[in-house]
Amino acid sequence: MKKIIYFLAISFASLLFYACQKNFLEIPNTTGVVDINKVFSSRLNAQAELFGAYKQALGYANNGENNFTYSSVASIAGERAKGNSWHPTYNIAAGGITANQTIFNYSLIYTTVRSLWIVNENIDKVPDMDATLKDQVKGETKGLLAYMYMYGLKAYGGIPLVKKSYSPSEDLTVPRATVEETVNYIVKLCDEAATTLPSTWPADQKGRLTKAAVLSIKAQTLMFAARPLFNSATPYLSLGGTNDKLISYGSFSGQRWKDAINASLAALTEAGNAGNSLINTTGTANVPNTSALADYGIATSTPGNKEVILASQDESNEAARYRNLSGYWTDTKFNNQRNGLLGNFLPNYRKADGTDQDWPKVGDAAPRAASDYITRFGQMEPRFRADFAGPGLQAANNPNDAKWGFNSWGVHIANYSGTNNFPATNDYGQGVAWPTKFYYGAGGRLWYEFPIFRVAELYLNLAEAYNEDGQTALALVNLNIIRNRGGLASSTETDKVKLKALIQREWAVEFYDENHRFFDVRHWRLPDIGNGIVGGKILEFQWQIGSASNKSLPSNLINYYMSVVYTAYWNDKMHLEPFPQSEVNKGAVIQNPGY
Amino acid sequence: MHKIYKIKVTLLFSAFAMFTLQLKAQKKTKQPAANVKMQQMDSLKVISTPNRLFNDSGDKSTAAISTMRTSDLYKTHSPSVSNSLYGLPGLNVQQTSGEPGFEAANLNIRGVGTYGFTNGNGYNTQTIYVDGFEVTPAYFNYMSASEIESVSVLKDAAALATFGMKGANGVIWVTTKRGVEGKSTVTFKVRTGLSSAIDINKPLDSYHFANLYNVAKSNDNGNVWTPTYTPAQLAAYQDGTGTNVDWFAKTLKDNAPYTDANMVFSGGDKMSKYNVTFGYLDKQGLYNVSNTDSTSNESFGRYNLRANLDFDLGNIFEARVDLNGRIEKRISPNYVSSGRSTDRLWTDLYNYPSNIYPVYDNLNNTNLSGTSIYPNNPVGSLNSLGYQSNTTRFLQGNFGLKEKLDFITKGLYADESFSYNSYDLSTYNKTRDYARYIGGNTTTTNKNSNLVPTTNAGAGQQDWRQLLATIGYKAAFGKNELNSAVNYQQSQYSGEGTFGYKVNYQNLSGRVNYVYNSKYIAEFGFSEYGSDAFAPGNRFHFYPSISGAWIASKEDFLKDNTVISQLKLRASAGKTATDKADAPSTYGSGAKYLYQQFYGYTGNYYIGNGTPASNGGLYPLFLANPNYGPEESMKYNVGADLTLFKSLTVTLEAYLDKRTGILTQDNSIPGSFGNFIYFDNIGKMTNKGFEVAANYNGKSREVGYQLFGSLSFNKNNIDFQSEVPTAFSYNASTGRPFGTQIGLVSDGFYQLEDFNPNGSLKTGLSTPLFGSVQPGDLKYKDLDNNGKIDGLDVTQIGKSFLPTTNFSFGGLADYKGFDLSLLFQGVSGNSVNLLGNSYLRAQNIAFVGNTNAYAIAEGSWAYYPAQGIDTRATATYPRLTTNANNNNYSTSSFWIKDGDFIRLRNVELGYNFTKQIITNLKLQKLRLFVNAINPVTWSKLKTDYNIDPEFTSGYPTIKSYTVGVIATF
Repeated sequence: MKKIIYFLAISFASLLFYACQKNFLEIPNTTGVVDINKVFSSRLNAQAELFGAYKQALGYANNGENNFTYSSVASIAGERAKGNSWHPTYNIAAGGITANQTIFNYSLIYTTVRSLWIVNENIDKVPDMDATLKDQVKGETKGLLAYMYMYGLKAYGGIPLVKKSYSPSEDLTVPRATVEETVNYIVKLCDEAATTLPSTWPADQKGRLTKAAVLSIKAQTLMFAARPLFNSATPYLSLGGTNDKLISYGSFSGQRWKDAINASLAALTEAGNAGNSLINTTGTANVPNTSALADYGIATSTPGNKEVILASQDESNEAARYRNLSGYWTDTKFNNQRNGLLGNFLPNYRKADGTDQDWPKVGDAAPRAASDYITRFGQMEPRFRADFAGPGLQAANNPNDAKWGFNSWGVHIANYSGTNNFPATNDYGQGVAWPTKFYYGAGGRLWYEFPIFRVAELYLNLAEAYNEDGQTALALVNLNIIRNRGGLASSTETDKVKLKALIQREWAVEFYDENHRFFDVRHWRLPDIGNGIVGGKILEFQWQIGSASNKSLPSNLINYYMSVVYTAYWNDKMHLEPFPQSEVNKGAVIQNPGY
Repeated sequence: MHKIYKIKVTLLFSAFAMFTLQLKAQKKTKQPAANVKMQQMDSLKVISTPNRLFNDSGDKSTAAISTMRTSDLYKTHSPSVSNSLYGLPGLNVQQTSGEPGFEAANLNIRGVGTYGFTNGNGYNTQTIYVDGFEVTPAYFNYMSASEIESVSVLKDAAALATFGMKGANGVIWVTTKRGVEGKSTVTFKVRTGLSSAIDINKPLDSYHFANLYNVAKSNDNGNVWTPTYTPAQLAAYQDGTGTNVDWFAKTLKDNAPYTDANMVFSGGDKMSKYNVTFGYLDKQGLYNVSNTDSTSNESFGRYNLRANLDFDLGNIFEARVDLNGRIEKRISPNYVSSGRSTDRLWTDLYNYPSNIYPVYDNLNNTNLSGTSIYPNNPVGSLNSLGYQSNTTRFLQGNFGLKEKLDFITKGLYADESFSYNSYDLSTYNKTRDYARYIGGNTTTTNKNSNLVPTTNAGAGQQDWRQLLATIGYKAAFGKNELNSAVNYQQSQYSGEGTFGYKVNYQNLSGRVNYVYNSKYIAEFGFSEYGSDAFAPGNRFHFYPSISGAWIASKEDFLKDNTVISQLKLRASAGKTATDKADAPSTYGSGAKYLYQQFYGYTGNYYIGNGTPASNGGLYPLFLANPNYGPEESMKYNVGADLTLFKSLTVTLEAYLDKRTGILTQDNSIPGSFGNFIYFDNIGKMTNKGFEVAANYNGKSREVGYQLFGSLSFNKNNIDFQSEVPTAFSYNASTGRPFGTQIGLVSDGFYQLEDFNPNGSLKTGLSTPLFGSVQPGDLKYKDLDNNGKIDGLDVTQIGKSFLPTTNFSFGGLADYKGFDLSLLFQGVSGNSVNLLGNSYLRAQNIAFVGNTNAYAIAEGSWAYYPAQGIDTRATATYPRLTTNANNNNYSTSSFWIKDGDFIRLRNVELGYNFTKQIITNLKLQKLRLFVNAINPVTWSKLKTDYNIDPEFTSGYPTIKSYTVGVIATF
């Protein structure tokens, strides 16, 4: 009997011992993901979070990290056609932006902001990083924060300014700041970042924010602050009372243009110090550049070229999907098919001699022979030929590469029909020409680096701001620097209003499909924005093409003409973006007017 | 001494012993005749002594438990025992595919109490225990009916008191057969039969397809008659000279064989008892392909062995050893999707039109046809790709030891048990490819290739170690009876390869049951449960329950009542929980370890000049919530067990289940917070309902008969789920039952007179934002009256996809050795979306994406007066199109149909040979039977659309007929 009791005692004791192993419920080894302590316990991981934020911030509104998923912003900015019926840009062209169909991903701004603040607040914990680099990283986070808020400002007006990483238990109410507060905060972030960021990074670190980059962010921010949408006594639509300050300054001030001039000059000077400059191989003032096609092509396409102050160095093919239309692109080509250059935008381009081209117009008596297209295409200014190809044409930016030639476009590049349907519309989307921008000399490289700041922008900033400030001569100097580099003769226009139009045309041509136009035309408050610029009748060429299977062979093209392919929606409320309806329903923000 | 030695040996082998239902093993009740006990579900007579984790001790129980016995389980010959559980009140069963090896039914207990962990469809969220140890659904689903003694469903707080975080969604409790003291018996059971598809909705033949296609193409061409198929082609289809392939007929056989056999050895004496079950099962698929070296029909084979041994080691010790092994072999043609199901083939069968090509491209039938649009010739998919197979092995050993400690104080006992359960999966394939031809030319890059075997590869394994120890006390003092137990459970689960990670838990639980004067019963139960899902300090939670019962029929005023033979009233209240949750999907652990901030890898960012180097990016997967805890369920139950006229038993239950703390993404956080993936215990849901079950036994002259029926009603409501604020309250899913169909409200078809001559909609009509519309398209109600039909015009358009009511009824009769039994089952209160899954879309969306057309499309809206086509007034389907059409094929009330049905689940006719005959054959029992499963279904969905109301994906459900014999020696 005793033995039994001993035995029971031992078995229960061992059972309890087994049961009470302290670590029994500890978290087991699970997966390869790391926790926050590991992130900031090594330089490698901390930088990985930083680079994750870089990818998100600089890819914002560009690489599909947004609500439009397909195509690019250009498809609702009057530059490129609206895309296929399943593309959100198609719906927006048809029915406008609504609070339930926005184009910019509002939440993603703040996801990125949060990631940046986490790095900013925790970087001091990293043991194997020196103090200088830590300061630089803090500068980078502030610079990228400024970049995100600049996007928010351009798109929404005054937005909530999150100035740290919140924990969910805190009061999370962050109301919209006014336009003025938003601008000031961005400027403050840029100034702070500029004090710690280097002018250049070592060669193997190139691509990270430099001093010139944050000064460029500041310059662009102040340009938008000075442009008429915000810099005005009356907003584009009223929100009522003090809420108008969320979408405008509420007063005009000429000083804002002076601030923009100073900021652009400072950025230009710093860019020069850092070795960034406009690529103009002939390089003489007031002389058209004879190698403009190559220079402009390199400036917009070659990774790491000296004109680029900051680029989104996301070299994934995914990011390039809607801009590489060559025969090299093999995956889901049909998705790229309907994003051609619009006839509405075409008149912005000149002939190489500086005069306007006589393209077919709606209402012409008869279609023109296809050879007319090829002839006129060849007469166009270098930037046009660098940025586009068309039916029957070899892309000038990759002249000897068959995959960039009419034999092997990934998709059909014309709105065609086998019969002569003049003046009726055959199809839409293929436009008047086919974008080849960002791929000068790229050959088989599918990816590209999207340029975020090129030195050219700073010159056009100065041209626009000097002109608004009444310093027409200085405006002309800066404008002509860009014209000359583009292979055009200098302008001698001195009338402020006419010069303004010329400068705006230069912005359009120089920065086609670089995500400028969408914001520029809104912030300039162009009167015709709903009548052929963004909204209104959309024009594209229509082609009669022979029966050969390759629809781009020159010998197969018969004739072409311009037609109205669809009507795009515009409403003045679209000067600024709507906040997502769910945010408004939560009571988090005051909605912009009209939505 | 010798005795002690034996104990030691046992202990050396067993370390810790296993929990048993000892008394059940010792039970000497005679096996009830099958024809009397059939469909008996009362909770009162299941087991006459207490279970340690819950109380099912006859009339001392205060819990809501329903139980089914082996004889009923055996009636349904399915490889998966889950298909045999119809008729258990409170357990809802949804039959699924008849695909060999994939038959497991969907189960849930009392509907859906939570939107948190729904397992994707609201089914299979319960916890399953076999002989006291938790098992995976894969283990339970393919157990053999012959090895199971009973299946119980634990429903209320009293039954689930000790289960802690395993209890919130109910428990299925399975016990296996044990030996009984008495003469040794050997029982052979064998049955064989044929199964066939319940129904297949076949597409239109080529002639009807082409006629409709002409209409569709013309509709797409601005309503100008532009037929694709010429009258000559149509005539060829009609007279049989054109291509017209019934792909279903080419790939399927009418029926497929099914066989199972069991041998059960059972017996024992005072010292030792045994029950050993051998099982064999073979089920062939419906595919028209032979089993050769290079091809295989789909099949499922199972070989199982269970040996349950009990040893009585004297006054103190009882020991038991259960060994269980099972091999499951699944083979299928090498045209499979996930889990080796052949769903892909069914996708093709439903989608490939009859006129695409003949099966073979040449006259001597060697070159299979195929095009780039329809590359996978279904005949080729079966015959020319080789086959895949996998083998699943379960090996389980349970060891248990009980000590009767009456020498310390009478009624005290201790029990320790340990289980080791191992699962292993390996694969072996033989694959090849074939060239596709049209007109003698190959059309794809595929080439004929030789059969290539893969190396036999392990595909993962799981180990599960569980421990259960109890100290119990049972005693009676005068009119007082006390029955109590304290348990400790510990579980360690770990998987390799594709099966994930480790999950551990600890549970200290107990029960005290007190009975006064055999009439008044009170019970208290608790669980102190610790889960590794939560942060240290937040891992252990306490869950109490109280319950009581009153046996009114023992009171004086009812004692001699001739109407009420028995009446017991029960009530329970208590708390259980679950640590399971569906979210967040971005992190592979389900909802575990949310308390810790994890980072995932994002794409590369490139830095550097010239040839930039990539840098991996990190981003937070979600925002950690250190306070995250379990989802909790407060359950209330009242019940009554009633026997009238000594022959009608009725069980009534009503319940309320309030869920709180459902893990939910907090959508109230403003976007400016910057991390929208934040989960918290904020969701709330209410589930309530009732169950009624009745059973009547009668006898009229020489005919004995039984009638039975049960009905379960479950209705839930999502009280709070932090839904992203919707524009209008009518858009919201909050405040509605889980799974409610939300969509546009259909308002007939657009007619010609709705349009201006230029094709635009007339003013005054709301503009749909799903694409341009034309006459014959679906029109919707503009609920917000803003002139646009868009995503804001959605509201509730149907019921949930889960039924509110599950019912079953039937009866049996015996006469001179013959017996006949019937079981009907059905559901109501659910809606089916005809566009709900890819298979339904294939059948109900004609032509879009080069797909097929079915009878439903013949009701389409069309108006071509010159061709004599005008269905404007009679249309039952929108105008046909060959293009994607977001307007017509969005979720809308047009496509929502009632899912009610009644099915005859089971009918069996048997004959038991008389004593004289079998005694001469040295038999104790000899029974012959014929049986049919699912022979008849009544459903509006089936009548109107030829769609099975219960299962709508891929391989169809089957009906089958068997003959069998049971012989006991």
